[in-house]
Amino acid sequence: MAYDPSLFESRRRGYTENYGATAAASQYARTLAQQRGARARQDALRQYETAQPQLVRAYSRRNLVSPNVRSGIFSRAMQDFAKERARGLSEFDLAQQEQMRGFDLEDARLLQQYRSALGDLEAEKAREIADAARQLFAFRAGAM
Amino acid sequence: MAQRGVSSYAPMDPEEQQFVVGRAKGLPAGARTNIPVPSSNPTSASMADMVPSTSVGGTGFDFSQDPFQAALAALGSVNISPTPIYGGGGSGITASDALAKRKYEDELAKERRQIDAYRSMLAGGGYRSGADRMLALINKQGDTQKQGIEGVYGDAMRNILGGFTTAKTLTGQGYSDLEKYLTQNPNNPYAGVQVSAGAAPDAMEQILSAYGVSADPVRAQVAAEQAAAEQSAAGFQNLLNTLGGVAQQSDASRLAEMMMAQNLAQTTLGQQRFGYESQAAQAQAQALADMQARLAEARLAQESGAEQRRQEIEDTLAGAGADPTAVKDKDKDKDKDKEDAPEKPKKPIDVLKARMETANPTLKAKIEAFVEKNPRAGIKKIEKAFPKIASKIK
Repeated sequence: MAYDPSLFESRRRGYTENYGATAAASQYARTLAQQRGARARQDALRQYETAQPQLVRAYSRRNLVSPNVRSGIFSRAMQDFAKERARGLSEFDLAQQEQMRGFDLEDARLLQQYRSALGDLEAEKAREIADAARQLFAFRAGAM
Repeated sequence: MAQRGVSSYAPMDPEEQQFVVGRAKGLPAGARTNIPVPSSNPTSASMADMVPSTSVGGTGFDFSQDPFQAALAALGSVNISPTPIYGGGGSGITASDALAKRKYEDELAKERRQIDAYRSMLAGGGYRSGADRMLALINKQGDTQKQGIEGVYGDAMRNILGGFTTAKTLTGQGYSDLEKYLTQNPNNPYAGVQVSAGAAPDAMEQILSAYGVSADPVRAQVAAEQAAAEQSAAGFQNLLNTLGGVAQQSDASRLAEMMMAQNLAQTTLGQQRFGYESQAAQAQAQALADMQARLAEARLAQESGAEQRRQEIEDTLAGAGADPTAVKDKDKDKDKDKEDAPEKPKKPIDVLKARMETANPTLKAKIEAFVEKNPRAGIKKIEKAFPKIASKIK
């Protein structure tokens, strides 16, 4: 069979278009996930911001906190609140990062697949050139 | 022009009519009979002139017969004189006897001439001149065919070499492009992924300090969260490193595959080349062998024909009572002389040509090219081109 480079170009185009489409879909999903994560984190942050003055007021009503009073129970409650806030926000961040890493991994995998396909294509092309050269040689030598 | 002779009588010029020499059937062109032929209007007197002078007298011819028969009839009808032809006496030979004797002598002479001619053919090799001409033609044809076969072989070798060079270049270019591509496009996308642990949330220190609450336990919590995030990032980085290593190995494997494929392609081309060259050489040898066989067959046929002719001539001579062996012995002596003669020294260029038979294809091609260019090269020229062979010629 004669060597036809146009067939390779057609396949290369196919691989590129496929990669472009999947990479774009992945990017879009990543963006959505980022937005979702950011929104959830902001909600959580807002909840913590809202809860914090309510907590102070509750202890204030029970005279456990005032400009001249600093009860241990209030201090403990505030520290627990702050720790809970730090833990909650960290969990949000970690979940978000893991989700983003999943997208990173998928993007890298897609890119590797795409490049691998192109490498296979180039190798196949070289083999076909060699095969065509062998056939030409055979024709020239009168063996075919 | 009608052949004039004893069997086809026709009116002639007076001069021609005097002595038309008839050509006897079966005699060679030069053999003539001295039989007088009468004129178209013969008289008794003229008839008397026409018969052998001293043997007969006659009364006339019957011209309804051909002249020869008429002459014989005339001779038979006359009263032959008892006068002897040779010498005196009453017991001499008659005219018919003389004629018969003359005829016999003519035939004898003819036979002698034939025998001489046959002997001459045997001695001079004339019997095989046709065969020799055919042999020369066969040899010439053999040379032409050999040149043709060698030409075809030369063309085939040039085509093989040209095809091999082109195929090798194309293959080399193809794999060189692949190598360039693979080198310029390393396939390890995991290496480019950025991994970060991210920043841990604040510890609400300002708020806590505003209420006079210590932030230390919260800071410890934040540090623990940061540590967990960093650990997670490190785990992900490890995963990326593993995948990157696999990708690098895959790249290296692809490069190795490319090198192996290139090596195989080039080796296959080389093998193909030797295969085709071998086939061409084999075809040439086969064609030459076939040609030699055909030529030998043709030569044998010619030699066989010549020998058959020689045998026929010898048989004819033997049949005629002649001894063919004398001629044969002479030929044998000639052959023996040839065998005993010292062999002529070969020319250096002939020795060089003969060397081609055992030479390898490369040397053979070189010698062929040299001989074609310098068909009459002397030892000095040969020495320049082929010093080793020249030393053996000396």
